[in-house]
Amino acid sequence: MTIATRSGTLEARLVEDRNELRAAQELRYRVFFEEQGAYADPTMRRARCDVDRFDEHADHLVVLDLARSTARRPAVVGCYRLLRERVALAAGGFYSQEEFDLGPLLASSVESGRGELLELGRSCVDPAYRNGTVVQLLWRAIAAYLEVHRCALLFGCASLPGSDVAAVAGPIRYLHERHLAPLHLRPVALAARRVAHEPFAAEGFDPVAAFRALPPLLKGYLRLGAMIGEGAVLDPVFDTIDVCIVLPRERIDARYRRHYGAAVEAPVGTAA
Amino acid sequence: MRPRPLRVAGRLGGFTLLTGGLLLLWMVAAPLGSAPRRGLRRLWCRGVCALLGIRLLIDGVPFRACPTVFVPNHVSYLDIPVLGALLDATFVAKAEVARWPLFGFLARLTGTMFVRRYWREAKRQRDALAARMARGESFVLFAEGTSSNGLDVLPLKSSLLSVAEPGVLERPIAVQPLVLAWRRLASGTPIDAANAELYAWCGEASLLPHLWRVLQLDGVEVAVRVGPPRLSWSVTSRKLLATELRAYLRRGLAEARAEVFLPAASAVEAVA
Repeated sequence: MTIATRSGTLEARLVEDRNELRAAQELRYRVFFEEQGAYADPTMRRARCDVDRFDEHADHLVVLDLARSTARRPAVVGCYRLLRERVALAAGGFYSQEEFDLGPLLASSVESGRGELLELGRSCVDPAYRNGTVVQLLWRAIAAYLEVHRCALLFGCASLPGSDVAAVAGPIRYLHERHLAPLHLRPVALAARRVAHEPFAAEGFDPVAAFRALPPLLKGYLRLGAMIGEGAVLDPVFDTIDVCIVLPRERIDARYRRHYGAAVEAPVGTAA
Repeated sequence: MRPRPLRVAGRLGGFTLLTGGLLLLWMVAAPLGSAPRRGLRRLWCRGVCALLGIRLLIDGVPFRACPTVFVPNHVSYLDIPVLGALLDATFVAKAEVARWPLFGFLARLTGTMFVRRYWREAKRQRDALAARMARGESFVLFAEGTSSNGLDVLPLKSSLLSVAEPGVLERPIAVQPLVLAWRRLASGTPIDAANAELYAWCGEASLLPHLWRVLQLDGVEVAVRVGPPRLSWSVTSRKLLATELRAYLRRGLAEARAEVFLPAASAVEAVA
């Protein structure tokens, strides 16, 4: 079974060499640091490339535009970073553990036969390709990846832009009221990162407006059946308020099939 | 108050042993970098609190995701061991403190940043603070500029808070208010206007007689409430920031002083 999947000139698959990884990191830099204005330290700014200590351990899912790609210069137009539990534990942890206590998720060990946890992160799409196709391809490939590696649960941090707590009080309250994960699957925001609670009880709360105000990525996760952990944290580098999303495999399967048809069972594509 | 010469002698002896012993370790630890020394400083602060019977109740965890300016209300020189027991941050102190016997020496030894309240110096001092924060250091800033009796909070001086203004520091920093509520004496008597100056050191009181009396007192309970962190991304003006911080400190102080129930046990363990 392969993870690769195609649509027109676009192909989603895991990166196969340094050039492709580098192209993904450059896309991340363009989107997060240049477009969204996150703080880049001088090293990253010189390289115009978003690199962190998790990159060398993770699998990198990319969407390539084959019409524009050469072996030297692969045209990466979308990417996702996938960090599996066995790999993460060997490398000293997950990215999300800098912001959330994953205790309940990790409680039963993967060695005991429960499926692996898979952390999703650093997802972005080239501004010229934001019509939904790239995201669909990424999700088709992720579905295949889950199958291959027998992952039981997806999780990761999702951001609300801006660090003004009052401005996102509505959306965060909405997430907690409607989508809070059950205790045994509920990560908890680390106290040393956590934003204040009080404003979440903001007056004049309107659930419909709160849902509309959510970033598209978070809406997408919710449509797939995602739940969220408790609390929200400040991310000083990205100027965001982050929540932790949790998405058990069995919840995706049902919804995803409704959404993308048979693609889950038979990813289109050739080599991987 | 009945004189307690034995208690004073015991506490001074304990203080000498604590300070001497840790100074020795401080010198030995020199080649190991700054982390062990920060640990020693914290140990000294906790030791001093224990010797004086200062019982700390901590509600919340100080922000740790980026360099942070902690802004507490200022009640006494005893705020130093109280905050030093909790925070990994350098103090900003008035220049005359550097010349105090022993305490001035300890302050210089631990890297304290000395400032003068003089408008010509403001920008240079702000830049010096910014340069140290750019290298990752966090600071405690008593923005009232002087101590008060601990029952209210004076208006905050904003000149150094300008490190959080746009364009001063390239990297993001955080600002976090800390409420220090000197709440009741060891006997259980609440601290109010009548007895506040037993521990509060303010106005024209001279240091040695005040310290001499503190050495004879039974002890005191201090509640520390860690306020909501605020990222510099969302700061527009130091004056507005100062007004908001003071409003939080006043509200928090009134609440913390009115609290009759103890914070949860876990909050106390944060320091134990």
